[in-house]
Amino acid sequence: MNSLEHTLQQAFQLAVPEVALVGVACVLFLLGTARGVNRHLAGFIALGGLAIAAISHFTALPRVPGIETVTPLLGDKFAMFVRMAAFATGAALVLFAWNECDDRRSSDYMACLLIATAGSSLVGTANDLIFLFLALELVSIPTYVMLYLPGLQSKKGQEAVVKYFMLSVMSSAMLLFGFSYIYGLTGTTNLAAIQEILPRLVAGSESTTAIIAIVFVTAGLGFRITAFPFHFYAPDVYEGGPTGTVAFLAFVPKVSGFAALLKLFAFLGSAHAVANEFVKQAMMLFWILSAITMTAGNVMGLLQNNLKRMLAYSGVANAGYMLIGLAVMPTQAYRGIDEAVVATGPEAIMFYLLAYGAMTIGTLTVISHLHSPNRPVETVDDVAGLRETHPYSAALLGIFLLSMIGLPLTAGFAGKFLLFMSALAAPAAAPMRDLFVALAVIGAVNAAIGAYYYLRVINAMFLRTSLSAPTPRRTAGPLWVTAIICAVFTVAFGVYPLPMINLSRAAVGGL
Amino acid sequence: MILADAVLTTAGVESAFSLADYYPVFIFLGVVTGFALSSLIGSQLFYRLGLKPFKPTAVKAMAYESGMDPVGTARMQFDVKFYLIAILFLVFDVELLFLYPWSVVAYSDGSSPEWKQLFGRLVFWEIVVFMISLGIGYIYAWRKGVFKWK
Amino acid sequence: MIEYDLIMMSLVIFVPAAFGLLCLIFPAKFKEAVRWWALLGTAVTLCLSLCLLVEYYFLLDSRSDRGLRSLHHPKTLLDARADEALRRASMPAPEPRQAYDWVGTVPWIDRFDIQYCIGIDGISLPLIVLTSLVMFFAVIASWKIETNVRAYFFLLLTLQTGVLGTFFALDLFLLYVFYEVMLIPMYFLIGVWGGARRKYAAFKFVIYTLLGSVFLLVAIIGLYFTDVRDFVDKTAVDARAEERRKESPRLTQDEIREYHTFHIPTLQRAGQGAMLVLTGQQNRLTARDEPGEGKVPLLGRGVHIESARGRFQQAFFQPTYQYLFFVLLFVGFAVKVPVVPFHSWLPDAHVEAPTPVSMILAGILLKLGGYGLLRLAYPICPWAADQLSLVIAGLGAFGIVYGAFVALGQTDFKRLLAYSSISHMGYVILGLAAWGGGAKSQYWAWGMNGAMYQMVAHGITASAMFFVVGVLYDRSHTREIRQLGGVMTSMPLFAGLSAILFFASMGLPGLCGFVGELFVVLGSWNYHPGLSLAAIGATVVTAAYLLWTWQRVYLGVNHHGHYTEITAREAAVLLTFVVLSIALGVLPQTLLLSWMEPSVTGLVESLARLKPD
Repeated sequence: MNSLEHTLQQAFQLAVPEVALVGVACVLFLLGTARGVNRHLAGFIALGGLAIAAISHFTALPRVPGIETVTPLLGDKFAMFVRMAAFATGAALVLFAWNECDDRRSSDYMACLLIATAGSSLVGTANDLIFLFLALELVSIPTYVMLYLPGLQSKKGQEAVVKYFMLSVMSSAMLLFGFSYIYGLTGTTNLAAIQEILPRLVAGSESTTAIIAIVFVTAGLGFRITAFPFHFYAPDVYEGGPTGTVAFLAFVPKVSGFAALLKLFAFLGSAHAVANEFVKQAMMLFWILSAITMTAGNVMGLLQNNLKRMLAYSGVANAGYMLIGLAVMPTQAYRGIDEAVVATGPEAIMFYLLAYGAMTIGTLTVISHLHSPNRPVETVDDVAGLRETHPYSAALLGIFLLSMIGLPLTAGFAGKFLLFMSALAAPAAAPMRDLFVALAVIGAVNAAIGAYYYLRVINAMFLRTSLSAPTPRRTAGPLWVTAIICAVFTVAFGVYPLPMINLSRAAVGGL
Repeated sequence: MILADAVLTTAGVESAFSLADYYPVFIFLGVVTGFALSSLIGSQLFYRLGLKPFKPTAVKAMAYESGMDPVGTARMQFDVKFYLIAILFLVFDVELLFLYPWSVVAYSDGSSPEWKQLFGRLVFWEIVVFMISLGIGYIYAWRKGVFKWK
Repeated sequence: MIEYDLIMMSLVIFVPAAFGLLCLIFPAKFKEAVRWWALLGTAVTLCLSLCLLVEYYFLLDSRSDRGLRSLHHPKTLLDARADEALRRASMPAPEPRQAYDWVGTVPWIDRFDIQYCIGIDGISLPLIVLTSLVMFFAVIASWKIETNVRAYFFLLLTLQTGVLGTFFALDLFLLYVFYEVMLIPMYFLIGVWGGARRKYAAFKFVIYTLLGSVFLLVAIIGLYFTDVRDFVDKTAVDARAEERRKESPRLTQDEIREYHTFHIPTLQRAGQGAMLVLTGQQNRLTARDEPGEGKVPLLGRGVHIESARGRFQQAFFQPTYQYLFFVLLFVGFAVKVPVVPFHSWLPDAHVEAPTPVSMILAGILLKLGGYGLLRLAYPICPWAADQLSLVIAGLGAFGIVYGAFVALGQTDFKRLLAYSSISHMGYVILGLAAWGGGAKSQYWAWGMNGAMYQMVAHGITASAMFFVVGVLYDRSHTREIRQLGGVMTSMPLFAGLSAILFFASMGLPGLCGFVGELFVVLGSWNYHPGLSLAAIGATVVTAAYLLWTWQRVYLGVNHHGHYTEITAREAAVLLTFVVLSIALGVLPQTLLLSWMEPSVTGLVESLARLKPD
């Protein structure tokens, strides 16, 4: 068989699960126009679609290795990790959003969710700038619809959609601008080729152009991961948006954003980049971004009274912690401390992403469960006395918040531990070694600041008495499944994180 | 194929980008600028030479805004139906437009038999999938009642 | 292979938590049953920890040569035992682990060499026994708790597991985990069952402690990055290098041999090595199997000093980093002690906490801070500790004086006791910091022993005093000293017993408070007479506020009618505390010092030899 044909065939095989997802989404779209379709049917079809995608992931896996690096899709371990994370998140969010929409709109919502899941999964697989951009847009565009569908009536909901839409389009434009510079510099859209060419180029005279490219790409992706100057939409969108979509927004764009950042900037950690002025500038960029993002997120979080706004700022702060991993990634080129015994930046990011997803989605699940139009659960005061009125919800929310604080035996702690460890693991030969030690200290102080506002919620739940008990209206089944899965994940990988650490390590090993 | 643009020289890798390769853009720029300038200058010339009458009215002196009133409040309300139509038009028109280059390039005479053997079926099924997804969008819009002028 | 010592120690740690979990399955109406169950749990723990004490004494005695310092065999020191356990484990054909060395290891997270590594010695064991004892009495004192009884005892017993685990841990990561596990139960115990401003107090407690532990976390991770291969046996490094070669074949020979660990004794050795390097005594370093005159055997077996020199350029061996690590560790634990600038959470927490929780807080939790300084901050960063010793001793002395004077001005009984705790814990800091090398090391040993003794004595008197306040509060429903008075007329037995406890807290000779303070003052006199004088002077203030308080509360006229005399339950607790404070005051050597002192002196000697002058 011709090798080119073989390669193409492989590339197609790699996309089979996502194609299946989009196919099921099309079915859902059409089905939604039929009469008598209710949200339960839509939900089961969406779950079925995810199951099909997961099964086809295992059956359609390319058996024979080909000339992988020239294909627009790459089925390495990183891609598989992102894909599994995306599918698992997709399933959790389908359950979360089960009762989010009424019967008439539910199938549209589920279809959008499936497409966005396919998009975030493709981000990990993409090996081409254009493909990467398409995958990122495949996450963004359904999100607009998902933000809009459940909350048509409220003004805040509409504000959220418009704000998110405008800024998202803006960020895509910046990203594309950055991509065009990268293409202009290297003359190729193939990521593997870019990884090879760019470090050689930036050593020379092209480094100013490369810096512009990196700044724009970071700005575009910074919107998705809610890094500091690009986070302004988050609180308003979280506050106004439907909770199910907020859970999606809090996690999926972060996964795809960080996956894209890791894929694009992996070359900074390769051996060519040693002692390069450009690499130092890039490191400094991420260092500053990380320090400011976590500080801004936590300080603003202190001022919040609305739970969802608070979670938005918590998301900003957590993005800051994860950026530590990105900032230290270039120091891998100076491998000094044996990497078998320490955590590398990308690995810590992957672990923390999952931990963050479990605790954030879990928190929002409980809030969504307790909320009802007659007795809204929006502010910290609204959860007061939850221990007495809803002890199980309080216990679950307690676990998630403790994980966010970063107490040991939770996944949040294990993740923070890995991130700080990766910062302190910067080898002595690397530039800015002391700055990374400082970054770990800044992160630790931030963790303590952040504890303050999480504790306020715990304080309210467990120590105050409630004025009126929340009156959950929703049928709770699917929500509880999501919440319990998240809680089990949080505790299990807090007590024994080793398997997940090893998976993360294997995933980023090929970058 | 994809890597072809990466210029590997003995001295290492160099950027494949060269501004000189983009000269048609500059020709186009020149034509556009020339057209604008020559119309301005031409109309002035005609007027000065007395070949063209000069009867200004308020409407003629207005800036041209595709039929909109350029002065006044910008916050006019349009019926949302117009947007819907516009979007539908954009989607189907632009997507159908894609079929032209496809049909010209896909099975052109210049392509080698080897290419046809490799990609012939692939290219065909690609466009079929494209049409199907377009059809799904069409059915969706239809079932949702977008084509009814309510 | 199953090790007896590992099982025993793990039982002591986890029995309380197991009993606590089972509390939750009792039906809600069986309150009395839950109380007895919790009491049984703490009683079992107390018995087990007393068994540990006996076993530890046997360990010391087994090496005894019936000489003058009969229990001082160097091989019984924790450092030596942990080293031996490591050596045995790293042999190519591992020798069987010892079942009676009271050090045990189970791997936990292999990749980062995080181990469930626990052990006891004369420094941790007194505090372990103290914890079990105070917890036992705290459960008895909790009989009056009526709301959410199951949750209350669950949290109380979980707290005990956290505290005991911290004292047992020989792995920094494990220690940190236990240290944090303790935080949440304490938060709820103050916040749910506390007084009027309980929310504020609980919040403040957690924020202060979290800030401290965050510093601790950074220090722990930072310490892990030190390449300590020179301080580990060559066989152990070889064994690990061999393993790693299989995992990551592209590493160089040098990288493969890097050795990072959370193991506390190993890090202590590295820290002591750092002090020698920083004071220009590198040549005194030698391998542990090649001792020599004037040499300090810190390096691993089979390691030669010449090969190790290059690695003394590491960050850990630089002054900046030594200061950094010491300050991080010191602040982390100083919040818990509390050392004066970090103390403001304590009065609030004490005032709002229910009686048993106050007992635990004063009796046990504050000791965690002192223990951390003694076990981690000093041995791991001795150079910085030496450099900063005057500052720390000053902080200690200032705490003594400041706490005493502020206590004098309090009208709330519990607040007064809280400041008295701050003052008394100042002696611990002063005793620790009275650093001296060479000939002066003997005085430092006094200071250290005094600090340890003071911790135990304060654990007993402070929890007893809070129990006294609890008894009074149950009857008068006030803690305002001005509203109390004339208690002696209606409760003579109670007044008599509490008088003894007041005197013990004051440090009257013959009672337990005296021994520790005397040792500390003696030790610090040779370090810095001025600080010692301040500490001595503060005892007068201490006597003043305690006697004055006793007078105002027990003498005079009772305006509130008749109080009932203490019940048998309360009498039993008070009587035990009184007996303990008298016994520890009269027989300090027999009861405590005989088996505590070898470890403390061993630690002092290992640090003092680094500074010959």
